[in-house]
Amino acid sequence: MKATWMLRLFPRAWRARYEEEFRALLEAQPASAGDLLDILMAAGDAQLRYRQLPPATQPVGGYSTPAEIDRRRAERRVRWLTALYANAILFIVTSLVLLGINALTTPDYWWALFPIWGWSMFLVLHAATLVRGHGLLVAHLVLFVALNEGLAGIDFTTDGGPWFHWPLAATAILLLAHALYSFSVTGPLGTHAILYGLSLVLLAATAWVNSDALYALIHVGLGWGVVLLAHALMRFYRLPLLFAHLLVYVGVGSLLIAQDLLEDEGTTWFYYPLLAWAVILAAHAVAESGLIPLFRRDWEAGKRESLSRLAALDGAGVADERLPVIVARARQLRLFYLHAFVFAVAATAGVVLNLMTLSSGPWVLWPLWGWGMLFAAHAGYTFARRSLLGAHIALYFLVNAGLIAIDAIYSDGLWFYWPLGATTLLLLVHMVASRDTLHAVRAWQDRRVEALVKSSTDESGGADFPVAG
Amino acid sequence: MVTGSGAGLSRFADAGLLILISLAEGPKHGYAMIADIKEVAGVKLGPGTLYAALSRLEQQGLIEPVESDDRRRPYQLTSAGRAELRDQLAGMETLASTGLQRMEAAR
Repeated sequence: MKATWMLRLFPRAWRARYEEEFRALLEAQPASAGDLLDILMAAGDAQLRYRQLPPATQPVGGYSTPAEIDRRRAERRVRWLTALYANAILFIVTSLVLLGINALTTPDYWWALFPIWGWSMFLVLHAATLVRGHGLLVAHLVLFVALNEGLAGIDFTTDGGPWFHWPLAATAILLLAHALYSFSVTGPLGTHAILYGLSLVLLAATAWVNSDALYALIHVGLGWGVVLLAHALMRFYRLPLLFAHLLVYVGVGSLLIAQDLLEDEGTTWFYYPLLAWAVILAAHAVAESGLIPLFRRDWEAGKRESLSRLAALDGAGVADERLPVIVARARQLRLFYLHAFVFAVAATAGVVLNLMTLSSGPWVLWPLWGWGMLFAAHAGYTFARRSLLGAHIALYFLVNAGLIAIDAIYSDGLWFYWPLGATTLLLLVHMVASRDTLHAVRAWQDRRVEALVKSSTDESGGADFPVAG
Repeated sequence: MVTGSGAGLSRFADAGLLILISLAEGPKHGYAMIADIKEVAGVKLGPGTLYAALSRLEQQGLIEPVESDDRRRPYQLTSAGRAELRDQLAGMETLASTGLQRMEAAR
C-alpha cells in the first residue's frame, strides 16, 4: 500500500523542507499497517512542533522583507474588514426578520430588541478593533453608551424607581480611568488610585440612599485599600510582586476572618476562600521560584532560538527582518502557556472549593465555562491557521453545551434549540464565507490590500495596523 | 541523566541515538539508515519515527543534509553531533561496566 497520501497530514512548513525526500523513502517500500500508524504519529508530532512557528513562516520561504510583512498585515486587516461587513449585513437582515416576527406575533412585547441590543454591542466591538490609535478606548466609549442606553430603556419601561444612574456612574468611572490611562495622563498607580477613590465616592453615595451599602463601603474601602497599598509599595519601594500578593492575602484574609467572626450566624466559612486563595498563592510562589522554566526570563530567549532553528529548516534561512516575527511569536506562545497555567491553577482552586461546599451544587462549572470559552478562543488564535473560524467553532460548541446544560438543569420548558439553531446558521454562513468561493469578495479584498500596501509604503516607517497578531 | 544538547531528544531519543550511530561511519540517506539500523541493532525504524528524529537532530544542529541531486537526500554528522554521540556512548559504557562489575561482585 502506498502511504504518500499521508503527506497531506503534515504541516506545510515541514513539507517544504522534507516532502521530496520523505516521498522518495515511502515510494521505496510498501507501507505496512504499523508504518501507517508510525507516520500518523510523526504527523501529529510535526503538527505540534511546527504549529509553534509564527504563521507567517508557514508558506515556503515565509515572508522575509518588511514589504512582505506589510502585505500580510494588510491582508489580515482586509479579512477582518470583510468579516465586519458580513457581520453588519447579517445583523441588519436578522434584526428586520426578528422585528417582523415580533410585530406579527406579539406586538405588545418587543422582545426582539434584546438580541438586537446584544448583537449591536458585539458589532461595535468588532468595528472598534479597526480604529487606529485609541481603538480600545473608542470601543469602550461606544459600549458604554450602548450598555447604558439599553439599561435606561429597560429601567423606563419597567416598574420600580429609576436605578439606571447607578450602573451609569459605575461604568463612567471605568471609562474615565481608561481614558486617563490611554492618554497617559496618569500611570498605572495613579489610574488605580483614581478608580479606588471614585468607587468609594460612588459607594458612599449608595450608602447614603440605602444603608445596606454601608457594609460594601467598608469592605471595599479596606480590602481594595490593601491592594492599593501593595501596588504603591511595589511602585515606590520596589516590593516584589510575590510579597505584594502575600500582603494582600494577609490583609484581605484578616478582613474576611473578622467579618466571619462578627457575624452571628453560627456558620464559619472564612477558610473556604482562604484555602482556595492559598492554592493560587502557592502557585505564584512556585512560579517566582524559577523552578518552572516557563516563568524564567530566559524562556523567551530559548524559545526564540529554537523557533529560529526550526524556521531555518524550510530553506529560506532566517533573515534579520524575519526575527521580529519570531520574537513576537515567542512572546505570544509564552502568554498562551502562562494563561494555560493560570487557568489550570484557578480551576483546581475552584474545584477544591466546590468540593468543600458540595451542598450548594456544582457552581464551579459556571466560571469554568466562561473562562473556558475565552481560553478556547485564545488557543484557536494562537495555534489555528484560519484562527477566526477555529475560534468560532470552539466557541459554538462551548456556548451551546453550556446553554443546553442550563436548559436541562434549570428550565421547565425546552428552549435550547433557539440559540442552537441561530448559532448553527451563523457558523454555516461563516464556513461558507471562509471557503473562498466568493470571488467577488476576493477581488474586492485584493484591491483593498493593494491600496493599503500602497498607502503604507507612501508613509514613512511602514504601516501600523491595529489588528494585532 | 543525559548530558549535552541531546537532553532534549525526548521520546525520539532512542531513534536519535541509533541514527547518530548509523551516521558515524559516513553519510547515508533514509532508506540506508533504516537498513543499517535493522542490521546493527535489530530495530526496524518506521519512516515516520525516522523523519521525526531526523528533523529534531537537524534542528539541534547534530546532523546536516549533504548536497545531492538524488531525491533521497543523504545526511551526515556535524562536529557537534560527533561530540554528542561520543558523550552519550561514553556514558553508556560507564553505565554498562558498572553494571557488569556489580553483577560479578554479587556472584
